[in-house]
Amino acid sequence: MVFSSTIFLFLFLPLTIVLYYALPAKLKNFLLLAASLVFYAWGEPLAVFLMLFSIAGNYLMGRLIAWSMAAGRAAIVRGTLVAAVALNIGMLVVYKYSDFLVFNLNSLLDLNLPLPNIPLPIGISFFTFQALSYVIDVYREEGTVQKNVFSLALYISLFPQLIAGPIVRYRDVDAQIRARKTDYRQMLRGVALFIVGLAKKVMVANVAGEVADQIFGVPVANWTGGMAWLAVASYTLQIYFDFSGYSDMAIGLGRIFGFEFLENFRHPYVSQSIREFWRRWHISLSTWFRDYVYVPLGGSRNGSARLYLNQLIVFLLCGLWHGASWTFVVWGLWHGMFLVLERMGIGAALERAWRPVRHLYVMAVVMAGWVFFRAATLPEAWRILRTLVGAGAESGSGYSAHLYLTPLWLLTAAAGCVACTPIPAALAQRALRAAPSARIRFSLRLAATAGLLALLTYSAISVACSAYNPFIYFRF
Amino acid sequence: MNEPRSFSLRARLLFWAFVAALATPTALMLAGQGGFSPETENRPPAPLPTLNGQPLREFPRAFEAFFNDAFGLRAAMIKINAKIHSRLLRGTITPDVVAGREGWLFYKGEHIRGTPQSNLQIFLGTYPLDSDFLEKARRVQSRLRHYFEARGIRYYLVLVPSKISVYPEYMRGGKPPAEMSAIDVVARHLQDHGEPHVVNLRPGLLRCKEQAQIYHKTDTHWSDEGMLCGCRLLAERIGLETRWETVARQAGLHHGDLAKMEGKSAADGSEPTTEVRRVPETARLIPEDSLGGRLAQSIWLKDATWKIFETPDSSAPRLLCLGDSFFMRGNFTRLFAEAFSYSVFLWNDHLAPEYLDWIQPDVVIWEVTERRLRILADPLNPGIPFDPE
Repeated sequence: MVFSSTIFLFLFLPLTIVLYYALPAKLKNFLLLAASLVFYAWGEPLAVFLMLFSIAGNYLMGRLIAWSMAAGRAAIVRGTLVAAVALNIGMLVVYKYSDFLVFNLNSLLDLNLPLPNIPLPIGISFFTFQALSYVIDVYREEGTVQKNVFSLALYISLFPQLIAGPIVRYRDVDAQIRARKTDYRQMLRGVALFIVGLAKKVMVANVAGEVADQIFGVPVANWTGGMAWLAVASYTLQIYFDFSGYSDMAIGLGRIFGFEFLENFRHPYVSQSIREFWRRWHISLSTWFRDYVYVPLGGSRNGSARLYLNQLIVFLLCGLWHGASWTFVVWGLWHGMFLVLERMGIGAALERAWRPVRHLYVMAVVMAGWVFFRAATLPEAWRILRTLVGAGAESGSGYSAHLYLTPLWLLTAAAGCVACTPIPAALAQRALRAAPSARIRFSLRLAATAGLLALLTYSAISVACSAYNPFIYFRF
Repeated sequence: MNEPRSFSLRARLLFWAFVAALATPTALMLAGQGGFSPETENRPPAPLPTLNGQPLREFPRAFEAFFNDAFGLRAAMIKINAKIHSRLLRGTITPDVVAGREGWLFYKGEHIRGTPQSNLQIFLGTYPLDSDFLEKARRVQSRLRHYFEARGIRYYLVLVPSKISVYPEYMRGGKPPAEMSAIDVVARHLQDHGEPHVVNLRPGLLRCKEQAQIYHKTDTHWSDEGMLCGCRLLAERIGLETRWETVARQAGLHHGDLAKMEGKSAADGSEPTTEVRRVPETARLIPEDSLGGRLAQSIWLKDATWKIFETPDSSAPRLLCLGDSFFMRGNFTRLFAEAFSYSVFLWNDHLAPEYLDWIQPDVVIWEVTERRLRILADPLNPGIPFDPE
């Protein structure tokens, strides 16, 4: 189930909220757990058993680690941790990377092994990283072992962040799972964030995504330079508004049910360096990699050369986490390379550069990176990059960017460019602070509420329209 | 765990108003106020699934399909969205439909995963017409021609252009009609390689376009004026005596299939058109529920969609016509049937040989629309059993 579907918006969500607040406190976690399992099973009826297996395995190993630590059995503690990491990474390898591995083994060793073709369970990358976070936090004594298997199940499967993050770390929500406060103001802030996230998804990401999909559906040989720029610009908008929209909805839903998740996107497209970009983009993933990979690798403690290597390793893994393909590996290394270059000296030069130049540099690197992220193959990505700079072969196929440039796209792109900066929020804050009287402040808040209502109404209409499925001829 | 505390009545009211607003479509559905319109969606609604008789893992998808068709306010929300898109944004709500200039709508063509849609390919001049396809199409036509010739039947392949290759100037990023569209390439290849029975209507329709609007603005298909032009072009090519010299025209309204796809009802989505009838009109439609109709249905036509006409002129030829919506929708069959003593129109690309025994046609026509040219290379179309070469 996805948040921007009619079944979630009009049935699952209101029903879950009503039941949640109708039940006594001691049953609320059970209700959320049941709802989360239904939410997951709705899209992946069989994959829910894999998630339950992950929950059971991580629960037992967490208990064993805690028991061994209390009993002073260091070898068992380390062995169990290794087993837990192997279990989680092994699941990820089997379900996400087996085709990729077999394909490359076949190419490398000239073998003919059949591809396993195992369906990818949705959200496995997210819930596996959360499970890893749990056992590692227990091992590091940064979180208390969870003795209640239902509470651990709730942490791993909680539906707001289950399929698209943010990756919630166990130590951040441990206390909230055991006991949390909810009040209507927090819930309303959650509602507002959910509405903004939904609008980002359906009003910007979907519109930009449709144009990107249409152009990427055309063989790259038929692309013009204008089409390439339009496709990459559309995808740049789509991926940010889609991902950050989902994160906003997840954080908003969390607040509605009393959880406080950390911010996941902080206007990454206004960054002045790639380093800053990664402090603003998918923050929960980058901090996960920092805490559970970069720091254990030695971080910056062993000299510059080792630091650069560690960064490249982290970003190679980060790329691979996003997808089992060489395009994702190159995307990760592309970002890793610029991070290393910035540490080697470009960063210092950048700081002295004119602010728009720094911004152009970041957007050029990020957009070129999205080409690798979106392209099906590396040669296709290379061809797109060549077309972007005018070095692609002119196909004379008749395709042109005009075919895809609609008034809706132009409006969406303009709105997207403004909405991906902190300017709207800053203006709203300034207006509130500058309001000379309580009455004007009230009017401004009323206008903001009306704005949210308009966003919700239009988003709901757009979601409803996604269920509209006319056939030109039913019989064909 | 603490219960939520009421910090303010306003916050409480707003929160529950949000929940109530989200729940309203479901509540209305439960109250029997669903919002599905078979008229605009051209399909039946998905049924409410049961847990009996289907695997449990398929239930969520089936229930979601049902819910997507049944939730309340659905029709109203779709209508509002359609108005916003067509009036404010000059766009469409259906990805398969393109909003062109001056209110013209174009159908992009059926979805085949991984390939651009066929009408779009026709517009862009990228419809795949390699030599392998052209040769396969020629072989199929050659076999058909020989098959019908051996039975003393005149056979014609009639190619009807897509709206997008007749009116490309109204498409977004529009341009004048191409000298050679996909249909012209195929027709010329077949004619140049010994298949004279191919009738390409595009050049003639482009001439008629100068006199009248021959395709509807909000429909995939030709208008009555286009149909009349098509009848005359066919009559000339096939050598029919009837030439539709005298016709009656009257103003009417047309609720186009693309307007329907855009969620527009007949009241707000119809376009003015000119209805055309031959004078005198002699062709009589045999009703499906008549004895003849029921016999034809049960013995010969089975599941096919069909129309049968008779005229008093028993000296006129008998026709069997296979085709798609260009012939079967609107008034084309009624107009064209005037030239024949007995005519059977089938919405089908597959011909059972026993039809020939029953209908005893003098003329067989297989009509194919430009966006469906690919089927010409399929040796199973029509379903005549061929001797292996």
